[in-house]
This record gives sequence, structure tokens and C-alpha cells, in this order.
Amino acid sequence: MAGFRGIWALVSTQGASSASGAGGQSLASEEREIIEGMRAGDDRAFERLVRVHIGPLHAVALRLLKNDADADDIVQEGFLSAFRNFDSFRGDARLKTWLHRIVVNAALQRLRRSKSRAGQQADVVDVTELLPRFADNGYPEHFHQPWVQTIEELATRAETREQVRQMIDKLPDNYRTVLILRDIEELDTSETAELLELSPGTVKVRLHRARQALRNLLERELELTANA
Amino acid sequence: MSEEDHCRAGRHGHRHDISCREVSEFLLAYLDRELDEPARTEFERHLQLCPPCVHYLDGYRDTIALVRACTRADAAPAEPSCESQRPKKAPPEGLIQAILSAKCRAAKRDPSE
Ligand SMILES: [Zn+2]
Repeated sequence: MAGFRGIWALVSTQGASSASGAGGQSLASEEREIIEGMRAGDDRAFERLVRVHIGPLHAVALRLLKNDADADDIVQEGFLSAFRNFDSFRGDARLKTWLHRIVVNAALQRLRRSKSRAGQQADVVDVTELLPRFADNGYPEHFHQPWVQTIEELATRAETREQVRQMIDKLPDNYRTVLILRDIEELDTSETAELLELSPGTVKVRLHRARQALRNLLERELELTANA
Repeated sequence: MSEEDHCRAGRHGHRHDISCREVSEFLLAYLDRELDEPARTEFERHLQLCPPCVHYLDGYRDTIALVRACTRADAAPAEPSCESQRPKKAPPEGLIQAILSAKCRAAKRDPSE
């Protein structure tokens, strides 16, 4: 469990509530019941905690790890860790936020370990090749065209949604993790920087390159311009 | 748009004070409203004169929106209001049971809990 050391200080100081989100009263009272039950050592509270939160937590673990078995493993590890360390949960954060940090942190650690074991994966794109290129005078080598399909048109097709997810998966982990945390999980720059153990400046640079690379990949693979 | 059209924008005394390269470089700072006022004005002046950079910016914004739209369905938060976006996949009951029994074993090993 060494992997979880250090995360407690981080998660308990962050994500101070946006508690009045969707769901309103009933969500807040369910959350309060779970927290009180957990503190009282009630088994049913733990089961409710798991059932309420497992869906999104499994989704983010799977997105980061790209593998069902690893995602299951990390989610289980995360809930056990939450159970053992529930004392460190402070009431001013939301459970969802707290659990999310635990699972994301565990998934990132798993990713770092597996990468150092396995080396660079196949089927990963070269980000530098996907960045826009410019001549010495600052003009682009390629003049960008408007996209011929709207986001709404693209996102309604299941096949396109799957293609987009696959293209995200093809980004190298350094870029993919930043894009997932910032643009999908919607964490802010400093939260992302802490989880990834990077400077905020590095997070911004990687996010920008990841978006630029993905922009070009989408444009090319989905044939989004008129003369593609 | 041809390169000639593109360059015409710079002809009537509207020298581009920042280049297309810089627009691309500072796009994130611009969208995050982190450019200071003179830089922001320069940036926007460039966009008024340079359709390809506008298309680039639009595509960049659309990329962010598309990423969200395409990942939302299988990453729906647990709130009931998002029920319609929940994955069709059943809740992972096997995993839930595995977690519950692992927790029972952990609690037995450590009765202080
Ligand atoms: Zn330009």
C-alpha cells in the first residue's frame, strides 16, 4: 500500500465542495448518511459508498489504464484504501471528489510502474509529428480549413465517438493523462500538476500539445475538411 | 484559402505583429484568458486578418468539445439527473462483491477498524 502514502494530505485539502451540485437535497442527505455510517463502522454504509461511486470511478480508472483487469484492481484497491483511511476524510470535501483523487492517484502510479516495466507501447502516435508546422517567417506550412461537420453531428454517431476515444488512447501517456485529467475529468491545472507530480507550466504545455495533436489527428482521421 | 489570399491581409499596412506561429503557441493562454491586455489585443487583431488561424482556433475548441461529448456517455457522474447518460452496461456486480468481501477480510485482519 506504499503507493497511497502522501495522497491523504493532498486529497483532504482539495476539492472543497461544490456541494450544491445536481441532485440537491437528496444527494446531500444520502452523502451525510454514508459518512456517518462509515464513521460508525456500519458495513451497509460501506456497501452504499461502493454502489453509489463505483461507476464513475471505474470509468476513470479504465480510461487511464485502458485495461479492464487493471481498472478493477485499482478500484478495489481504492475502496479498501478509503475504508482504512476514512478518518482522513474531512467533511468539507465531497466524497466523490475524495474518492476520485484516491483512484486517479492509484491509477497513475500503476501506469508509471507498468510503463517502466513494459517500455514504450505500440500503436502510440508521435505528438511532435502532429503539431502544426511553420516556415521561418512564422506562416503555417498548411493553411487551416474550416471543419465541415459540427460537434453535434459528430458526437451523435456511436462509431465516431468510439473513433475519438481510440484516438485519445493513441496519445503517449505523458500527454494522454494530462488531457484526461484536464479536459475529461475537468480538474484544474494545479490539481492535475499535483496528481502527476509536474509543475503547472509543464501541465499547460502538455495539455496544449495534446490538444493540438488530437486536433490534427481528428481532422485527418475523420476527414473533417472539405478537401481532406 | 490560397497563400496569396492569406498574405493580402498583411498588405494594407496591417503588419501582423504576431505571427501565425505565435497564435498557435499562445492559443491556450488566450483561451484561458492569461494573456495580458496588449498581447490579447494583438492576438485578436491577428485573428481578424487571418482566417486560417480562426479555423485553427475553431478546430482546437471543437476538439475539446468533442473529447467531452465522446467521453461523457461512459463517464456519467452518479447523480440521478444524468441517468439518461449512464452506460447501458450493468453495474459491475462481480466487482462490487469482490470489494465487499475484500473489505470484510481487511476488517478482520485489523479489528481496530
Ligand atoms: Zn495567422
